[in-house]
Amino acid sequence: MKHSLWVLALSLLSLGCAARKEMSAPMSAPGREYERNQHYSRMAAESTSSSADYSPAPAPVMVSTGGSTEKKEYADEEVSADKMRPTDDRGPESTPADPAKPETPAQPNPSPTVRPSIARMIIYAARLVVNVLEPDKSMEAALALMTKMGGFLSQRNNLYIEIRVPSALFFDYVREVEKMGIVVQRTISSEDVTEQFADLTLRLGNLKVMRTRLIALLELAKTVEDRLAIERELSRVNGEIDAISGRLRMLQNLVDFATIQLQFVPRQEGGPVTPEKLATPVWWVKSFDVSNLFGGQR
Amino acid sequence: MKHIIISLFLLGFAACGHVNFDPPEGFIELRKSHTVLRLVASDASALRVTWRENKKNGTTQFWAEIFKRELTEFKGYKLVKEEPFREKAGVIFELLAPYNNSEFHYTVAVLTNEDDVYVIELGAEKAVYDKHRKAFLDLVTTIYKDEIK
Repeated sequence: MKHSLWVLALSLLSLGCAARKEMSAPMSAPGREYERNQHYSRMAAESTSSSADYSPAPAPVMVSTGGSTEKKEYADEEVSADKMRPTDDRGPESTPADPAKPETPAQPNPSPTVRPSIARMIIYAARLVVNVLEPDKSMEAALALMTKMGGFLSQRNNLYIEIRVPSALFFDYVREVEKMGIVVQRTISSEDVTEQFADLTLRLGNLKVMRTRLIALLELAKTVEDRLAIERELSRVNGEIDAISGRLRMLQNLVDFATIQLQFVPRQEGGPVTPEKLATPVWWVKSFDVSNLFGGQR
Repeated sequence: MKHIIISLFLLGFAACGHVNFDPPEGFIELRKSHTVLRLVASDASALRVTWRENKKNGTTQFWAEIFKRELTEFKGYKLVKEEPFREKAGVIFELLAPYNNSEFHYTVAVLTNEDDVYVIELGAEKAVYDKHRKAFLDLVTTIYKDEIK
């Protein structure tokens, strides 16, 4: 038994996670150790179902190709569709390639060193400044369109809003807003986070395998020193799993919902209505407007 | 001595101002400078007279066109009516302008002669516009008689 413990410890070292030898913590009560073991066993069981939460969503399919905005079709760019799980697949993981599948120490380690194949993941964002005659009505129309498309309001400040809309409808929304007035500023950006997402998913899978092994080791450990060392390592691994899980959730959210910053500018206060025309050459003529008259600014 | 000279100069400068007119009925004089006279009514309607020195070839037609372009094409105001004032002495634009989530009447008269360009503005809510339009026309007529003719 002692020999098998050493073998398991060496396998941990091969994963880059050697147990630390410095053990100086006070001895725990046997009942408390039992509870802790049960807790880690439950966590290991939970990890098998939670890892499915980070499957990438299918990339957005751009509906239209009209206008000046940049559009790409990503739906056909999946590396290997047979390995990809859809977002709504929340079932228990049982595929051989599943990195989080719990194992017993006696079995060989199918370490998930192969990066999981996922669809292309793009974060879309846009900033639009639109010159309109009736900003309030335009704002209401923009918010109504957002609700209709399944988006939500992130921030509002007078005639400025920041909204999130499903990525699949991103270009549709931008196109509709552009029809509301004259676009005086348009910035559209996209960030490909496919590689970042794949790396994090791979790391998460490795950490979950490591946690399963540590839990198995903990059950076999005989001395208090061994148990303390393994628990310390478990704590570190759990911390990393939580951090990566959070990062993956955030990335998934940014991919699922594009961010659009929208500013409506009244025509009498904003930029030129017809930007392609030359501005009035006599400077003082430009200062005549109704807001200056009522505001007494001149 | 220096202060006295400056004071005299400023007094003389103010005395020969081009926008020294009596306020029409319903308006009080709120602010006056050498080139701008601002008048307000109790319902927040506003009148403003602006004077500028004219340039060579600065005809009424030239100034009318430049104002019309600025107000309709760049400010986006809706032109309701455009009519000449005293033949070629000036032009009056009646516009609708959005302001504070509402639409206001905004009327601009441009009067010119060889030396001067006068711009007279009236801004008012729709409900009180007709009442103040007479005061506006009275002021335009006064300026025409005193300065342009």
